[in-house]
Amino acid sequence: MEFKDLYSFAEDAITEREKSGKKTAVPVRNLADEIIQKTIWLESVNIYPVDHHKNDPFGHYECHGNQESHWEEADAWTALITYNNTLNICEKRFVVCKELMHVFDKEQSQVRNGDQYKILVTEIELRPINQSEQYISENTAQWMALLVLCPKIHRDKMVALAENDTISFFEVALKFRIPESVVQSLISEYYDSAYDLLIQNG
Amino acid sequence: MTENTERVARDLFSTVGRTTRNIKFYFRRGDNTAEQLSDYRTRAIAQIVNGMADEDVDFDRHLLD
Repeated sequence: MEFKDLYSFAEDAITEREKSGKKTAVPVRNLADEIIQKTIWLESVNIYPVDHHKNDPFGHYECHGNQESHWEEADAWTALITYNNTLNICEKRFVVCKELMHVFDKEQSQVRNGDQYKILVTEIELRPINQSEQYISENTAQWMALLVLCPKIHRDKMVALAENDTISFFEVALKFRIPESVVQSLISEYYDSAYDLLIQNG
Repeated sequence: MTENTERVARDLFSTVGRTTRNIKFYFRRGDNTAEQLSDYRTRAIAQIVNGMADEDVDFDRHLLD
């Protein structure tokens, strides 16, 4: 499954729900189920809330496969996603959705060995100028999450209302059930750039 | 590079019978160190393995109600 296919699924799901007068947010669990159904190598997506310590990250993603030996490639993979259990539902949704987007990581963006793991966590800490594909994918996944939770045709309606001060950031967040802190990104011009890059030209 | 990060990096990709393909974090921009990320990952996996964290099977599906 390509990311564009998931985006279309989310756009259609929200449109359908809007027509029937229901809440317009698309459940992340439904997105995960759609990915499982359409992705041959992925068997399941398991989501776990975990206890939070001060300064913990908001969540994490990793992919596990069962294999007979070191020499055989696994054929069944499980995506494991954790999130900080003190977050509110909108924050949880965004964190889990962002982590879910790593299912679409290209091979060069994946952390596949200990050296790559060390590079990624060190880059997160030190934020160097030259960043690895693995680090860049963290940012890309956030934009993918924003796109899929707030597809452009629905987002554009909200932008028009927000520009006329008809609707507040809080109301935009409530409509899509996303954190209020990401609404600024949602209404920014960067959203259109992300849309062009990941959907139009993706 | 601190001890826990080294250990996670070493162990993560070397367990026979269970392979890890990718690992990513939703980090706090400017706040998270390599050690904090590795500590979080170690604790999270321990909670799951020890049955202290229950899978959130339906997660946000209640939004459909």
